[in-house]
Amino acid sequence: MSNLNQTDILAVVIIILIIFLTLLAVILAKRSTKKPLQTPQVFDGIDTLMHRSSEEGKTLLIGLGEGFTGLGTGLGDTTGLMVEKFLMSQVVFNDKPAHSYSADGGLACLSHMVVRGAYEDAMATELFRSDHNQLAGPGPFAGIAALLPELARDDNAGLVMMGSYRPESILIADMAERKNVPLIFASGSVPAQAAFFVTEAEIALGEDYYLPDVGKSNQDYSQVSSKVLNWLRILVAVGLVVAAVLKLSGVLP
Amino acid sequence: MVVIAAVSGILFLAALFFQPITSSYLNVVLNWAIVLTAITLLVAISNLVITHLRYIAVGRRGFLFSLVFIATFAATFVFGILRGSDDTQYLRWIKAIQLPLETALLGLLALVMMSAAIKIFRVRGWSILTVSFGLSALLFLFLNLGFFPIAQNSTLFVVVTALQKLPVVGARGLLIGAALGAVIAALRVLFGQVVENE
Repeated sequence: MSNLNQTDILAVVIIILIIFLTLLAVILAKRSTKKPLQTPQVFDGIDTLMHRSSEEGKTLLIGLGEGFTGLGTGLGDTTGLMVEKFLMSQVVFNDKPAHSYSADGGLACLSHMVVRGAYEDAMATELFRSDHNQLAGPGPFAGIAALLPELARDDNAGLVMMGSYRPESILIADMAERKNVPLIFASGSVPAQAAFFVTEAEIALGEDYYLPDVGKSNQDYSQVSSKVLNWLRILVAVGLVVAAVLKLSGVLP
Repeated sequence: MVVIAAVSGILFLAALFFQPITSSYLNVVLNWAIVLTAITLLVAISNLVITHLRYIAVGRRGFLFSLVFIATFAATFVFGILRGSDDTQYLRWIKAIQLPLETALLGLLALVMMSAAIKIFRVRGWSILTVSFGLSALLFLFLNLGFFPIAQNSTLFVVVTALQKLPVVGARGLLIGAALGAVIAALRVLFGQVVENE
C-alpha cells in the first residue's frame, strides 16, 4: 500500500482543486458579461519592444533563464518559451532577427524547436539560422557572462528576460541601463524580482509571471488563470486566518 | 505527440504520490530524464561551438571572444578526456580559474546592487512601495547586523523579534502566490493546453 503523508495529501487536494476551479472558470467565462481583468502591464511592454524592433530595424534579445532541467525549477519555468513562441511569430520578417539565449541545455533545445517552428509557420525556413537561438552557457554565471557582450552591441531594440533567474542577473540590468536598452524582466523567483525592482527594468511582481498575455495571445488562458488564482488566494487567506484563530484559541495544538 | 507527452506527465505526477509501489518505475523514468538532459546539453554545446566557429570564420565584430571561448572549451574538453573528470590535478586547474572569476563577479555584483539600491528613488520615484521597500531594506539590514544590544531590554526585544518576522511573513505570502501560479502554469503544460491555445 502507498503511505501518503499529510503533505502529499495536501498536494493532491490542491491539484484537484485547481483542475476543478479551472473547469469552473472556463464555464463561467463563457457566460460572463463582466469586463475582463486587466493584464499585467509588463506584457504590454513586450508589444512595444516588438514594434520598436520592427520599425528601427534592430535586434530583439530574449533571455530564457537557467531553464528547467536543473534542480529547483519546474514546468512553470516554460512560460518564457510560451512568450518566445509569440514573439518569434511576430518578428520573423524583421530586418534583424530576434536572438534567444538560454543557460540550460534542455531549454536551449526546446527554444531551438520553438524558433524553428516560428519560421516554419511563416513558411520562411530559409531565413532561419541556428545562431538565432543559442546556449549562453551551461550555468547561471556562464549565462550572464555570455549575455553581457551581446547586450553591449549597438543594434539592440531591447531585451526580454523571462524564466528562472537568480538575483545575480542584476548585472545584465546594469549593462542594459548603461547601453540604454529597454529591459523587461519576468521571473517566478522572488529574490530575483526583489533585485530587479531597484533597476529601471519593467518587472512582473509576484505571480504575474505565470500569466503571460502578449498582444492577443493567451488572453483566454490568462483570464481563466487569473480568476483561479484569485479564488485560490481567497481560499488560502481564509484558511490561514481560520488556522491562526484556532491556534490562538487552543483548538489546534 | 501532445497526447503522449500529456499522458506521460500525468502518469508521472500520479506515480509521485504512490512512491513505494511506483519507485522502480520512477527510477527508470528519472534515469531516462538524466540521459536525455545530458544529450540535450551536448547538442546545445555543439550548436554553440559551431556558432562561434562561424563567427570566427566570418570575422564578426567581437570574434575575439569567440576565439577565447573555443580555445578554453577545447583545452578543458581535451584535458578532461585525457585525465578524467575526477582527476584532482584537473579539478585544481578548473577551480584555480573558476573561483577567482566567480569571486570577482560577486564583488562586482555587490557594488552594482549597492548603486542600484541608492538609485531606486530616482528610478521608481517616491511612492508607498518604494519608500517602504527602501526603509524595510535599511531597517532589516541594521537589525540583522546584530550590533544593537536588544536582548537587554525585554520590551524592545519583543518588538524587534516581531519586526524580524515580517519579512518571513511577506516572503511566505509571495511564495504561496508564486507557487500557486507555478502549479497552474505547470498543469496547463501537462494537459497540453499550450498547444491547443496558440
